[in-house]
Amino acid sequence: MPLAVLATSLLTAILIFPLREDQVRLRTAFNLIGSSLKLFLVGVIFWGVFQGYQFEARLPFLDGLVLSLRVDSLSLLFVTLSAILWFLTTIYAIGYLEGSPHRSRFFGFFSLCVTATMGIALAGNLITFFVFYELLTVATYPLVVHRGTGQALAAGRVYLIYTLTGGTVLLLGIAWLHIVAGPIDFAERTGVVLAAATYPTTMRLIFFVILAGLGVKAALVPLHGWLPTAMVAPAPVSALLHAVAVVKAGVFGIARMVFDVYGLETAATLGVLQPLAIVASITIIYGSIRALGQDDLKRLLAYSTVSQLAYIVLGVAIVGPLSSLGGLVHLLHQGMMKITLFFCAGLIAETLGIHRISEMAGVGRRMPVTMGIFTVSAIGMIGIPPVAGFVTKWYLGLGGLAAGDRWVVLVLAASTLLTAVYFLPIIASAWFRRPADEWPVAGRIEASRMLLYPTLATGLLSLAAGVLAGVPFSPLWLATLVTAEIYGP
Amino acid sequence: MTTSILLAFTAAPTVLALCLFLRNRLGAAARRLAPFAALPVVLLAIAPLEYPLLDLDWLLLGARFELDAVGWVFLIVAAIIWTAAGVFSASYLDEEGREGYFFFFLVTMTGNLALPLAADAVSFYTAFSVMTFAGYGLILHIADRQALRAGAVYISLAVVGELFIVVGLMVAVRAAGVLDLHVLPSAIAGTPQVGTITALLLIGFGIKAGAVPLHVWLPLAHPVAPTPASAALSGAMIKAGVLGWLRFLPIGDVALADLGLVVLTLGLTGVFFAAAVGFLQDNPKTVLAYSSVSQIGLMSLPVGVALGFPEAAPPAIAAVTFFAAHHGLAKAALFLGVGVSSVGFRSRLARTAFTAGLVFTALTLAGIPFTSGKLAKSGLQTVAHLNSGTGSAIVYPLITLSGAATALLMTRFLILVIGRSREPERARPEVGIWLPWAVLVSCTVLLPIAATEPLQRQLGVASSIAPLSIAEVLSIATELWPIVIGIAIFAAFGWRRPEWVRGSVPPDVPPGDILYPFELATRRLARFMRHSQKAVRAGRVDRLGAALYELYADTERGMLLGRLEAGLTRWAMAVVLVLLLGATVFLVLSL
Repeated sequence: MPLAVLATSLLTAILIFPLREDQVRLRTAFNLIGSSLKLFLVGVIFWGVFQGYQFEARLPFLDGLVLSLRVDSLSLLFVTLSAILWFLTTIYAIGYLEGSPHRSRFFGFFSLCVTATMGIALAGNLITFFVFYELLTVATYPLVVHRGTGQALAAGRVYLIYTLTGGTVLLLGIAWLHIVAGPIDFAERTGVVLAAATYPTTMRLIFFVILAGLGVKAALVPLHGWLPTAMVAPAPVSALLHAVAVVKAGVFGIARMVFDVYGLETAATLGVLQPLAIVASITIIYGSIRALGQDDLKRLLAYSTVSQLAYIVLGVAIVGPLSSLGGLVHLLHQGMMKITLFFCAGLIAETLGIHRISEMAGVGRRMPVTMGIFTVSAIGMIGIPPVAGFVTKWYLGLGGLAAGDRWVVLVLAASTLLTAVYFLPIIASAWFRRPADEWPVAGRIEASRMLLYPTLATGLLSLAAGVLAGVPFSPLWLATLVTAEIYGP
Repeated sequence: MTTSILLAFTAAPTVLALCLFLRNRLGAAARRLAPFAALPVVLLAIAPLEYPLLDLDWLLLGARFELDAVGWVFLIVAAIIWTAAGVFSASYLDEEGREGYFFFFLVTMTGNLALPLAADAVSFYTAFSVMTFAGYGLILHIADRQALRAGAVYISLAVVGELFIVVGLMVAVRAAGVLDLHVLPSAIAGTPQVGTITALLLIGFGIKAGAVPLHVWLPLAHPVAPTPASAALSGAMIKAGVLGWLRFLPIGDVALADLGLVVLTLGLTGVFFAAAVGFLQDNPKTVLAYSSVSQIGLMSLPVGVALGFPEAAPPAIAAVTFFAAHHGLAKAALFLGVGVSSVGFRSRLARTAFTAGLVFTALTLAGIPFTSGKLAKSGLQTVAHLNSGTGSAIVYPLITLSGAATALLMTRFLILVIGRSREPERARPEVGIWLPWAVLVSCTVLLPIAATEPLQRQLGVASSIAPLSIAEVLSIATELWPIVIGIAIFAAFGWRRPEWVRGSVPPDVPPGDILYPFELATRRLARFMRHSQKAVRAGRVDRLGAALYELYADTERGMLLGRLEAGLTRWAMAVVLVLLLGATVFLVLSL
């Protein structure tokens, strides 16, 4: 079953690559069938897990190592997020790239990216995780440089330098861990626990080496430099990069490290969580401060991502069910809200040719639906109820207090204030200031349906995740399941 | 069941708000219904129904709704005000931008009306936030320079307020372990962080209420919002802050004498400070905004007393609740009065009737006998008597003297409005303009008749609606002296400066009073940051010094041009006034 989930997108990629540029219908059909099928399979897995089925697939890899794909609640969380947002992004991307060159290449790598992300989500041991993690790096590069401009290629270079270095460091860490603690399976922690008791200093060092590797994709300060540069990618790529694929892979990896490789108890005993929480807090504040000065909308969103991702890391780094819940639920919430914001930025750029915040005066009156969705998501990012972000902030704050770390609340408050300072003026200006001059294109009011509907869907999801937080299958509900599994009965 | 119906009608305006923009029959229907969106809530609140606890696990983090006695008063008053403001808006507003206005109007209304129903911390905070952020749209509606400035000040303080509230709630919920508003306050009282939590929530909700010194947004925001929106803001929305105090503060469960003293000091300071700054203003809506600040000062007094003396809590809650209802109706009527007068009158009779109604409402606010104002003030005085600790001797007479402060403001207001109404914008007022105003005035008239008995029962004083004896008539006459003082101060000031009475000179203290120095400093600092950033980016750290010099030179230039100097004297007066008043009240209270 986990193999089938991977296969749907891998097959799509294989089918799309050889297509000619003008075979639009066939390509679109493959894309939609692939992503719908995956959505369906994830649904089946969901159902299966509740029926008590164990999904696992194992393949022999290099000698002594096994590639393992397994479904647990944490992977379910990530798989669900990826499947839903990928489905919507596929529709958006088809609309967005209509008529532009190299679409077969684009969608081919796009599907490869999904495959890699699904692999990361379903990986059952550290080696499998690493293989897909690197596949993701490689599959994303052509998407970042898709436009082929000088700027895009330069950004792609920065991206590769950062992520490949990160990957190497990660490999080093994993190899070292294998030497010290034996092969790492996420369901089995005895090796690490034993090693931590015997060689605590080495295990601490390994933790930070692996963290440094993962921290690149997770965009932890000071390893975040590639992310604002990579925003030159086309809007759907940026959206995925910031919501599901690359950065989430890093954060998901950190969550796996803390929860399943070391285990909260061992990590806490080793004392590695406190530094992680501090790095996360610095990242939260630093990202917000950097976002303040930006005039390029996508750049601002990129810095906002840096800040918001660290919320997840902060939640993971503080021991206690409420913090973990806050962090894990933000894995979903941040994805939904940020993908919406990037979709909106793409719509505004496509329809009005606007990329800069200083040009956004009056956009709300020109594209009310888009800007309405943008407003809801931005308010969610600030953490104002009833949008999703509030739920995160609430549990992170309570978790911090529960763990006796009062400074967490102050970090959250400061970040809320900064986020409000960089988002609210955009919103106010878009709705209430008059545009400097007439809009260039008179035609359509909003973007085409192909672009607008996925945006609307993710926007509504962000709102519903907050308003209906108490409903079964809500992000909060899912995250509660994961937390329950982590902390045991 | 009943509660879900009430809740559905509370939430309905938001659905209506989304339909406003549709270009089909549904949209047309929504646009017709929008002004009356709060009417079903009025009817449901009047109906003799119970609204028991409703548990909605699926909503937010498990929401609970209920309508208790205090909530009922806040709900019905807010719903009446929003209905009046809605009907008024429909006739008053221009066609352009109407849907946008009603969108924010309806969403703000939803938040405001859901607030009294909320029975858990998260639902309350959610409704509060929805109201706060949608209210931003109402303030920005006109979108000129002034509106953008007022909006910036409003939203800055609102965000800070939200932060104080959410941090306060997190600490409270963590320490107390419950979300339920029935038990949260007493649970807070039992935690070691009770002082911190109370202080955070006092500040957070105090910003919305407009309590001095957190009031600066109010005199800026109320004049720029369209008149009916100001009526809703000042009549209903700022009361949300007061309701927040009543719902969350651990009054009645623990004695926090120091915080109580601070609240009393700031409250009394606010009463007189806002009157002193407000009566200098030349815009009737600014005067009303300052009057609201002054009245919020009065409303905070029972809260201060109850914080210090837990046994005073039940009458204090009753007194605040009634005061909020009285002030809400009267203040909304006065705001709509400004709108009515700007439209003009059909006949002399209409003008006379309007003037009579306006003067009556103004006198109600000043607290003349037989009005809700008098009743509200007697409620405050009853509570003040329970203040057995320090400074008890001063609170009571100052409450009486507050009549003079209000009278001063109201005289200024009446002269500005009646002076203005000679130049109408439109010749024929429509039913939609004068009817909502008349309804609010009638509600103000009827309020003491309906509420005297239950209020006195709550306050624990003997009800006495005896026929008037000569002694009582005499005592009533003597009760008018604060109002005479207020008018006398006005007359004395106006005699010295007739050009001020005409409103032809700018006010000595600009609206926003103590905000001014902060704004000045912020602007200077922002310019400094820009310069220094540029210097750093250019790699010229040596230019930092230049930027610093720029900051200095800029200030110097401002001085030379006399701009800053003029500003200095203007705001310095406000700052000195607020400090002096505060210090005096504090000294006397703590004697």
